[in-house]
Amino acid sequence: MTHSTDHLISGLVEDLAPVRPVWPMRIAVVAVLGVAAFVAVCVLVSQTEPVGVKRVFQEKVYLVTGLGLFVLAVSGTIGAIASGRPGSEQIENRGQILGFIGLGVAAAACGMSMISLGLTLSSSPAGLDGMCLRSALKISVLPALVVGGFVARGWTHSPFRAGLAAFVSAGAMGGGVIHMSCGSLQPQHLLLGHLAAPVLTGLVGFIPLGIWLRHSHA
Amino acid sequence: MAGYGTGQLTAEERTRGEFEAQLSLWMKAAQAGDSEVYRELLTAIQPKIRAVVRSKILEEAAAEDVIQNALLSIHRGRRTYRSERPFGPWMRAIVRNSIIDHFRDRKRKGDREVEFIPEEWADESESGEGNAEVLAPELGAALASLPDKQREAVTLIQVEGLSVAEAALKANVSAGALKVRAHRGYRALAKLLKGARIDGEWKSSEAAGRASSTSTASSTSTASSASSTSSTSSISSISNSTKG
Repeated sequence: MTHSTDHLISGLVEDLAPVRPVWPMRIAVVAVLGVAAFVAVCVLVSQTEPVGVKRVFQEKVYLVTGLGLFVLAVSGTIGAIASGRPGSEQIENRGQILGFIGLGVAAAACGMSMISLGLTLSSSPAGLDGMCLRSALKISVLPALVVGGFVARGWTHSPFRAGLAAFVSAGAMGGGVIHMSCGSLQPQHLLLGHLAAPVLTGLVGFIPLGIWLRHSHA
Repeated sequence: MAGYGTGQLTAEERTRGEFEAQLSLWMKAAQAGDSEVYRELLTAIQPKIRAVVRSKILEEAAAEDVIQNALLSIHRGRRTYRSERPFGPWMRAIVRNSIIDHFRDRKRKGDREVEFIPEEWADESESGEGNAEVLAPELGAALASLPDKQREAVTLIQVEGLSVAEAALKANVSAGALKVRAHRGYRALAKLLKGARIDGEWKSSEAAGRASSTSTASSTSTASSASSTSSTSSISSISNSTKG
């Protein structure tokens, strides 16, 4: 052992303070998804008629979009939380890849549906896309805080990737809740009003969280 | 400490599984704040980390830096260890990440490294021999004009002679963040000190008429650690780019 390393070890020992170990990954994931489920129930209960839920099986594109958001929310959360646990790189990679596959499949389904409709539809009523997107972003805030908190409590080696996964999955939760409560079946609306939410939250949130994580972690 | 059976344990004496179990117990105690056990743990894992790092990085100073960064990461990330899981894979993942960081860093820097020789920092005219604590007036002024965080990083590494990991621990930031701050500081210093030295002498000492006699640059001895050698080389990159 070199003198310098010996000196560092002494410094680390001096700096030692009791810490509370992070929650087991399963519990952390369930906690995040539980918060999202709670928000979803609150939103749906507050509606007189959750039209989206009723229409799930009416349109394939609606179902595929919903499933895509669900996969992105769950596997993105797993990927984000695993990124803060050294030794869980395989789970992290699989979760993040699966999440982005879910998003890609949902976006492709909407795109194909738009093409099959000739791209001529005057889609949704004016302002509906923006309204759904704004609501989805608002709903995403709480899950983003929770999943971001779990990531920050961990120790990640890829801060920006972890930040992206955390915010995209939170956006997918917001988009998913809106998807269940919105009655519009227009593929263009699904793309711009529902699926855009995870993309936007990811783009907005990953840089600040990544910078913060890089500063304190890797 | 007694309850954890420290002191007598070596890797050779016990089977790997028992050793892992012992490390796991030690880490659990360390998470609870037992510093004696923590020292045992860090001392016990240090050779293992060294073996892994040296198998990938041949250069001694660079390897030492990586070992220290890994130890710092283990320290900072200790709350992510769950005692129901084996300690080895958790530790190896952190060490692997430190090695990856090292290669990424090296790749990113490439040949942007510059010449910024710590020996030149000392104002030899003051003491007759190199002394990092006595800085040339130009350098002192340039250092003072740096933003606080950059100044802290540069001072910890170059003036106090700490390794990156030690400096990061002291500044309470990650090693990566500290390196970025120091790098920015070096670049700013190189810019500020452009033209401040003529023929290797500080302008101020030349003006005082006592420059040339003390050309023997003795080492800036406070920077004694092996890891600071590699920090020095990273500084070097800045000056070259400014020159080029």
